[in-house]
Amino acid sequence: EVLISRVYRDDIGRNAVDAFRVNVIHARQQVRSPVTNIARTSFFHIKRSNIWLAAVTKQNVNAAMVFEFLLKMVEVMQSYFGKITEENVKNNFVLIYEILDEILDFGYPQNTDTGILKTFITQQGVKSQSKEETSQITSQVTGQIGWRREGIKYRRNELFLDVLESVNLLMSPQGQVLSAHVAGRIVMKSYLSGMPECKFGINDKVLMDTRGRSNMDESSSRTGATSGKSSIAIDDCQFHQCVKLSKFETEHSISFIPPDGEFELMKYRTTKDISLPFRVIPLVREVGRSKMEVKVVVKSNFKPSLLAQKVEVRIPTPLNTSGVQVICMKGRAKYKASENAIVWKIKRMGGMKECQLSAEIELLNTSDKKKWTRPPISMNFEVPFAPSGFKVRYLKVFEPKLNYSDHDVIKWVRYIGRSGHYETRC
Amino acid sequence: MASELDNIAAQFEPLSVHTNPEICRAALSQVMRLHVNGIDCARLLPGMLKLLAHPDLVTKKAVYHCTAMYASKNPELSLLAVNTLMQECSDSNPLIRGLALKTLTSLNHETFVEYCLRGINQGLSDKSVYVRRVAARCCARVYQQNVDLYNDGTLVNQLYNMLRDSDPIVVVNSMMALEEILSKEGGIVINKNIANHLLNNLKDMTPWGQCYILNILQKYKPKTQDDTFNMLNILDAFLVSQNTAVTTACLQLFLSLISSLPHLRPQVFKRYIKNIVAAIPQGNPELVFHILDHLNSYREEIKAELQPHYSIFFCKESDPLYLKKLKLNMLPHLTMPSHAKEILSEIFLHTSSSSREISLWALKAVTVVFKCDASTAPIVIKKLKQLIDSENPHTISNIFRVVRSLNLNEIKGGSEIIAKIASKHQKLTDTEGQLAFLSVLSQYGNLLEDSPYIIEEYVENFPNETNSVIKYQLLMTCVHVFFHHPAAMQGILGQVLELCIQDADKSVQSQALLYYRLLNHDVEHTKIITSIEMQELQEL
Repeated sequence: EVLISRVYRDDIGRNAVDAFRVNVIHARQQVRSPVTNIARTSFFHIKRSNIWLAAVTKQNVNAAMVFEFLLKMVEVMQSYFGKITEENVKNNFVLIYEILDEILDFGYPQNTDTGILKTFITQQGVKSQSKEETSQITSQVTGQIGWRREGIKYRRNELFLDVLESVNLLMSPQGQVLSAHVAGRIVMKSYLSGMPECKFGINDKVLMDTRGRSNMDESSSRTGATSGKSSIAIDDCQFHQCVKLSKFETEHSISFIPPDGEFELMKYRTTKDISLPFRVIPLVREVGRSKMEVKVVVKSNFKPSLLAQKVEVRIPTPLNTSGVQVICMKGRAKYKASENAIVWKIKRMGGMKECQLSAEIELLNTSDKKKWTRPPISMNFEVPFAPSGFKVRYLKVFEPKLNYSDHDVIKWVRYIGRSGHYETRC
Repeated sequence: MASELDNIAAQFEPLSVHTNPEICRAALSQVMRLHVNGIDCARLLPGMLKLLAHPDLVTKKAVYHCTAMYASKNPELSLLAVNTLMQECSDSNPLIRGLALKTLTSLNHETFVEYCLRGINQGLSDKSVYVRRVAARCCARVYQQNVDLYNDGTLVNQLYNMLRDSDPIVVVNSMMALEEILSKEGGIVINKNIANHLLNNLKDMTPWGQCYILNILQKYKPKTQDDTFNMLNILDAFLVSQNTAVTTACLQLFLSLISSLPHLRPQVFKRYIKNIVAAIPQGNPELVFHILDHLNSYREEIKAELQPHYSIFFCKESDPLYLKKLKLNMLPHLTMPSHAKEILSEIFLHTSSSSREISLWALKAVTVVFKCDASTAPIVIKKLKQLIDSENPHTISNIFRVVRSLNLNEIKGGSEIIAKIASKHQKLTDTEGQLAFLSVLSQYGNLLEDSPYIIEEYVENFPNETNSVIKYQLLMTCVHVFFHHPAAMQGILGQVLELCIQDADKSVQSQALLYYRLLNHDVEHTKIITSIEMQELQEL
């Protein structure tokens, strides 16, 4: 069923929809390429749960651009109404049309920045505009300091910094790290008066090298200059549009005037020196054709004073499992037949601890000769530190016009490290 | 269907510009839903037009959208709309001005062209950036509908001026409009001034704008090498941009700029790859597929730069099939002695996959690795032996298909493998597997003592065999094995030739006749011919 369709140029007709449906959605082969060519028309599609998003063109376009655009579109829609499900799409029909109208015109992508789109497409609909609001919107749309308006006042000047990281791992059965990377984002919620200039300091190797030479750094005088262990090497990072990139290039300092409220300050990635919070050691033994013995040891590798939360280990079981007996000392483990896995949940786990689970899996004798390829053991968890080693050194606030100084601002920092794809092969 | 339309038409009756926006929106979303499902809602147009001047922006947008959809079929009705639209083109709210202009130009009918041009002229010099952006796009849209409009060049000139606008999106849109309008003449001509202007503004543009401009810049050929290097310097930042589409477009531009300086290519690729491999592990599968596919087209050239990054080709559990296929395709070509073992163990993991296709590609990958690096032979042989014992029917058939391309005659332990494989041939159920087995027999008949007896089994089954491809292959195999074991095969060969000559299928018949005549004439020559045939098969 077609939920939303928008034609921008006259060269695509209605039969394109049918062609797509027949050839891609109901195609019988397993291997479906994300790009299909039917009668000189190209269809690029992505699939999210049971919703298909397809872009259709008759011209020779940059394929990477189409996919980046589709992904950005999904991101914009998600920021308005959450997950892309059939229900959400039907409920936000008009909104989606509005978004489509703005971000793509005549087949060329225009501005897809979520922040700017939200200023003139709101879910409640824009009520009749007063002259002042109109001029505000126009200036925001032109991109001058459109991300913060003048005259903001708060009694209590506060800011909250969240360092949110997602650690991804692929480990071989022998314990060798095949690939690991951490994707992090810094989300800042600022409730500051006026137009404050903020300076953000972190323990990135490159940034600290230059700062080591400059003066007045409280942190580096406290912890001593660039010691190799306490700094991390960021592979690449992306900043919010408010960060003055020119200053970053010359002085290697992150300086900006923050938007009011919540926004994402920067995104970064590291692949080196990641301290993996957990190590999973699996041991699988097949006893004949009717039984499998599995022992999984989970070791936590961080300071004993910290606690990991919502730890979950998923151990996949073969499809012909008839029953499972599980023993574990910590947490609760259950065999979920519908998901073909043993799910072991540990509410809280301290650092430098070891937990073990043993399971006996009874298999049905099947005539099915297919050998079961063991999917990897995956983990989910949340730890109160940054697995990349990222540390906020300081965040200084300068507002020369109003009478509050950096010391008057109440600052909160918290680190949340979550698992992304954390897999150990077995 | 008609009743549903009536129903909705009735809903529109009481509505006017003063009605509550919620009710209007509900009615309009119903119309849109019907339209999406292919139902023609033209008769609802009069009802909707009443709401054109509604102050609620959302309702307005919806009405404009619907109007634009049906206007071309209902020009008289749409004339009503035009009046309102022209008025709104001078509204104080830039959003409304832009929207009105956009809708005005979407009314695809010749009676409105004049109004469109008037609106566009006004829009192009509007104070608000939003309206200018819209106006630039509308030029292209109007042109698409009325091709002969542009014999006078006033609009084109105006668009050229807009290239100097302060807003980057306006610049891109004007660029795009000019490209479309002048497409018959090969698009816009980029001279040095325009190129410099674009280059300087690249960093302010949206990623989509950057992609587009990088593409367009390929048309510009710098006159001196200094100019080229200047361009490259400015563009360098985009080669390592965050957005993969931009980096890919930039790579293309780089490659075209240094077409006269081929020694720079490895450096360019190195920089590009270093950046792009950062995006791959966390990227969405569709995007990753495209990047890898693109790299695959340059594979031979960039082997050296890709090799250190071989780990990005390791397949994640959640990767879709097409991505796994591509990765398994590319990975073996990156083998280097230092990490051949790692790559092999990754590939081996997939050889026993439950999916038939993946296991086949993985096995093919193994042979490629083996060809690149002969020192891996012992590991490969060991794994093959292990796989042969597998219970999986398709694994065996896949192994047969793959073994053809390995030259087992020259490998230690090759004959053991052949013997082992041959013992499993009864498990083959599919045609490709059987064909592969037969050609294995012809290739390695010399290593197998029992090959004549195996063939005998097949020949006994010959009258029941319906697939002519298998019959053809069986014939060829018999002839080849005959030269390995002449004594044992003589009788069988005779039998097969007789059966084939009487066979209904023409190609089988003619091939059999050919062999018969050759053998009759000169056995030695036939031996040479068949050995060449075998070599060709092997290369396949």
